[in-house]
Amino acid sequence: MLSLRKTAHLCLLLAAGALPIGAAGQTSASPGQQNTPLKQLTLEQLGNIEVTSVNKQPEQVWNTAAAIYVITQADIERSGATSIADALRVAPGVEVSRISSTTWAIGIRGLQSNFSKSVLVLIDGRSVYTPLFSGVYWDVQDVVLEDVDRIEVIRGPGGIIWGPNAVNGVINIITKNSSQTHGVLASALGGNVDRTIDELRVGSGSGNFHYRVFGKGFIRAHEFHQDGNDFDDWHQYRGGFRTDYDRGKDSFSFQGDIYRGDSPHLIGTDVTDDTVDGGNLNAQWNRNYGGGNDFHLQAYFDRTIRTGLQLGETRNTYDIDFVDHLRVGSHNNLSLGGGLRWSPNRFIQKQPSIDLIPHDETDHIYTGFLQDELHLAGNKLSLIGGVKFQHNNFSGFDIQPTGRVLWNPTPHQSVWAAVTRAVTTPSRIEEDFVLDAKSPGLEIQVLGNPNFKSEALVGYEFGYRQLFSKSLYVDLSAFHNHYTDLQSFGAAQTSLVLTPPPHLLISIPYNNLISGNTNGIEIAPSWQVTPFWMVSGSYSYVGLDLKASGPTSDISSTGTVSKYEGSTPHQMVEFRSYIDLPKSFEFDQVFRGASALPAQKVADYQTLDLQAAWTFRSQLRIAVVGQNLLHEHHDEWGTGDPTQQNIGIRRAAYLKITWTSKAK
Amino acid sequence: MAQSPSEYDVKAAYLFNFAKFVQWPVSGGADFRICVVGSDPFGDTLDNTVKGEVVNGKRVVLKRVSAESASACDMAFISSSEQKRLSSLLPALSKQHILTVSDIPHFVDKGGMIGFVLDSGRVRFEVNQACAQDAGLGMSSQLLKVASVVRQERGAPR
Repeated sequence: MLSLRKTAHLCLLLAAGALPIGAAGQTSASPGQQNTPLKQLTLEQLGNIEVTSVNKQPEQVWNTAAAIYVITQADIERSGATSIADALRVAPGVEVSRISSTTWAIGIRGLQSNFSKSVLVLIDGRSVYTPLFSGVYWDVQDVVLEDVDRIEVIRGPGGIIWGPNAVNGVINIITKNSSQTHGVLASALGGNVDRTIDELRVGSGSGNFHYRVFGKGFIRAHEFHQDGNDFDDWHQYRGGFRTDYDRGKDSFSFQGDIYRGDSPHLIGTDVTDDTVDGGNLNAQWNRNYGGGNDFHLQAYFDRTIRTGLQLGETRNTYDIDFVDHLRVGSHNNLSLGGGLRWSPNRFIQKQPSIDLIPHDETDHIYTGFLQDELHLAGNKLSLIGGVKFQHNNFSGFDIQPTGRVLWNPTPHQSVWAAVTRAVTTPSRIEEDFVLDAKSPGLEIQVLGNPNFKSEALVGYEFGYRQLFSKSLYVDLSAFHNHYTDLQSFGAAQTSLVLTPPPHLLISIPYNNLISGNTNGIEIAPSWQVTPFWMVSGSYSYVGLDLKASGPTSDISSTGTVSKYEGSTPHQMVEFRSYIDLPKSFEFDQVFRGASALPAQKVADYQTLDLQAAWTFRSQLRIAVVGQNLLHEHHDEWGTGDPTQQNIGIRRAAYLKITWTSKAK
Repeated sequence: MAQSPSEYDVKAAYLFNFAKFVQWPVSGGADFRICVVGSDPFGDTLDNTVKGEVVNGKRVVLKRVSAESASACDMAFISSSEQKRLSSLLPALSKQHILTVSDIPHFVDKGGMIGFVLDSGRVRFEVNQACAQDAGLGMSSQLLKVASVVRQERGAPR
């Protein structure tokens, strides 16, 4: 980056924030213009031509000493994904398994689970992780997908700049600035599984101030159930807004949304049709001093209410955090930051056998970090060292250091390596849970452990990226993760209880007996075969070698060595092909394969998705999409109950019509 | 066949266009010189674009130079290969009335005059008028009107 001291006249920002005035209201280059030499077009016309660029990752990727993959808006549109979780399948090393119509098991580099633990998921910097079970409720994470600018996926311990629980990776969903979403976007979808998804977004603004407002609703049908119990059809409504204001060095962003719907899912063998509702407000302030110095402050409020047959929870989350970047001298980039998050929550007991004690609690977490990046050898080599401090109400104080190195031998090659320690903070379930099921003569308890420890990871990673020619790009990463204190269910302890009526008491605790290693690689090539045909894909491999230091009980989808090892697909492969055809037609194909999950009774499977779309005058897009076409239904994850059949993910198709009032 | 132009086809066309919307102080040279500084991302598209063209009454010539010998140009496209050398390169070019253009990210925040950005698959550009004025160059209002961002402010060094 440029040092201000070295330059005689460095001119700073006054972001006028104006849109390309010439482009507003213009249609894109008409077919006639295709034959006019480009140099004869006006500036406005040049700015409206859609170009095929080499699908190299954005510039930032070259300079990142981590396994980062950026899912672009084009990837989201071409994949035909109708949810954030589906869109994540594009990234290498991310295991996405749909459990039912409403639920997902998502992980990065192994150890995926129903709870998507150990992966930090953010939407515009707001964490959507719940301390209830250290995971993500995917059924309530939704945005207007057309307004997503990109999804950054970092595999591996996310580096210390991210929030807590960035152990196996970070997923950051970033929506477009409202200056990029002017006009009306209306979209309607109808299909056999995604029954309907309807969106309306209106945006406007001028000068320094821009905004958008949206409404979205969907109804999704059930997946395939062998026993005919089609419980998992569901719906949700959502509305929200975003405003952006730029003035000189400062830019402000304020957004929020609210939602309500239902969400049926299985807990064990019972079906519960949860009512979900909630909302959030998210404010950010960025001040850019230029020359690599900037300051970022964010505050958000998030409210979730979920009530069902078995349990209910209301949770309010208040968070404030800041990040400061400083250039110190001509070779150092310093980053520092901190944050506080309070999450008062209330557990609503619905059944006598399930409880969290105490009912009311405030979970909190305080984080601070410091990182220095030293540039050497004419800026081709960077050494990075940093540390994050974290304190939470469950497990106390944790230190997470990282050391990284990045080398750019040529402008189109990047080599990096990293060592990082990261922890997952315990959840309410792991510490406070009381499951107490009584039947005549027998009482079974599964108990949270107030001394439950943080699960810890030391990750060793290596990566290599190269742009081989204008059209071929390859990204390779390898890792060796050493885990300690992974969650387990301890040995069942049996005792005879004499208090009347006398009965047998079987007690199973949460504890941390499992440790071991995972290793793997991910390779993701991307090739622009011809200007109108792009091909990309990925291959991911994970090997696990875990052991328990004591006896464990096999009662759930986690908690034993065989469950962890048998719930991670050893290999995943994806192949995508995007073809632009004449007359504004488009044809996209996505092929995916994943190896078996013996602990989930899931066989290896392959899927094929196809999309054919036609765009009329750059404003109206009509798309027909077929998903999971190879089989009538296939399993991606188990139910966690050996007596229950897995839920099959059905072959699906939909028609989607999208209209925008202005050419994008 | 609806073959979309490539990103660099469009950027080459823009470079040719920029020459028409920027005023240079009068110079006696016979040629209008466009330089590509660093590794060339254009292939032959820029040569094809400027072949035989005339700008402001001068024949357009194209040169490929390294950062050390970047001078005697009217317009310089700075390749991303020079990203880490900008702090030494830009002040030197500014003294010689050279219009600097690049697609290095945040180019206009680093002392550059015109920076390309990709927006939803379209090539747009940002300008820094103050930096151009410091180099004795004037930007026409038509250029400023179409630019997606216009930086004006000169800041204090920190």
